[in-house]
Amino acid sequence: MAYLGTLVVLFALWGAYLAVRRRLDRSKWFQRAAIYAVVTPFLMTIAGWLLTENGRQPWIVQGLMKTSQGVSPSVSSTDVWISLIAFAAIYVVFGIADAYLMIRYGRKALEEEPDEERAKEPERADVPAVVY
Amino acid sequence: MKSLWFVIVAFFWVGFFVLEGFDFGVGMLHSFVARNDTERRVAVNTIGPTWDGNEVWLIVAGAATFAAFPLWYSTMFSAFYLALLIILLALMARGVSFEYRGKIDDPRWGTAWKWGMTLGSALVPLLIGVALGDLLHGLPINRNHTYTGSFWNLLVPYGLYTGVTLVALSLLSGATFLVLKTSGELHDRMARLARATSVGAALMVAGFVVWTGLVASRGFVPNVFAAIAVVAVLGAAWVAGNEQEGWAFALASLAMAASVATIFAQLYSNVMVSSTSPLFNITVGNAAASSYALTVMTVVACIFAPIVLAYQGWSYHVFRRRLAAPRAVVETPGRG
Repeated sequence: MAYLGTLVVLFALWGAYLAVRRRLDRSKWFQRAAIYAVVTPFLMTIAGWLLTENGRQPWIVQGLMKTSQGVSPSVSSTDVWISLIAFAAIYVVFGIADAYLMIRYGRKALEEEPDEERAKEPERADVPAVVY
Repeated sequence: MKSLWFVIVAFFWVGFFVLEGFDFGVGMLHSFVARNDTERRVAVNTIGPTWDGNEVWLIVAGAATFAAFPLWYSTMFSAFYLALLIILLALMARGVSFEYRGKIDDPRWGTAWKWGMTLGSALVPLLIGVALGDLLHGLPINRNHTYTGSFWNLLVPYGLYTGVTLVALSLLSGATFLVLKTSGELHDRMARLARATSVGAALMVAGFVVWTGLVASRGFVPNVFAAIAVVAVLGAAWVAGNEQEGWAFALASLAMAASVATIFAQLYSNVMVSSTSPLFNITVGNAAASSYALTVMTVVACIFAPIVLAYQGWSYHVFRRRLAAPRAVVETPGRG
């Protein structure tokens, strides 16, 4: 799954090719694929971590130090369980919020093109915009 | 070289608390001082562009400890394992709330992230303060430099008091920062709040300085940082009442810097005191990495630290203006 990275590069090249030919807005197949391509970066980063961390075992530093030698004597397995469950829980909560936001923003209709008149109105460029 | 790196690590902690202190303060205050969501947005946006850069100082402090004093790092991070877990969860809740809070216009959504930011901003300085206090107070550490206590052994009175002091100083920094960065009615309310906070912070710092002197086993030796902390916080309390807004923030930052520096000045040349036996103390000498590693790090730090400081300073310059409520909401926003 970590090799999906290559797919993303190919996909980007496809998009760049269409953009150069000015067909990006009419290419139905590319646009359909693009919707599903949203999940690939998430899958790839997770898969990449799993690959390196699992592939390196039993070493924690390849060839120098075993994972079993790196265990903290003062951290109990209960502590590790607590942290594992807590991190899993908070990631699930944030993951749900994130997915919800992405779907919500994905479904939102595009905004109108900016109005010519309003664009000309002088902005106070030196006052930071309120964005958060 | 070892002592130099102790100073560098201490400097990162000081920098973290000075810079992120006011972010924590704003984060804690934003849900109490703002009367409506627009004011809350303005308060959050005063730190919006810069808070994450400030937070990197924490990572640098941890990374510098890791690289320069591996033994200190391993004992400290293992001892504080569950405390660090809570700190990380608080940092996550806080960090995400900046980005998510405005994404959906729904009262429940906004309230959830508002409290995420408030609690997160309060817990982090409190718990890191407890941790720094513990370094000086001493923790059960055996001859193998392994922590032998549990989570509850971390909550010693001096550590807790240090944590509360740093929270109080964060509130003062945050309040004086908001005074500088807002305008109109919110500004006036913040000015009153800054005055009130400064009195509390001054009392806390005075107690902190005395207690720190008593905890440090060398007895109450007058310490230049402790003296600066007391003078600065009293000065901040004085000028906060005189509408000298820049000075109030500068003195609040100085009080924060000197308070954190006091801990490290009293700690040297230990890095973690063992309450089991002074023989088991972790010191600058026995915790440091090889001199080759320290030399390489010094060269790298000399090249990159000025670059990082320059662009961080520049980001403050870019976002230097006072904020006003968005025009769609208020017809005639006050100008800074």
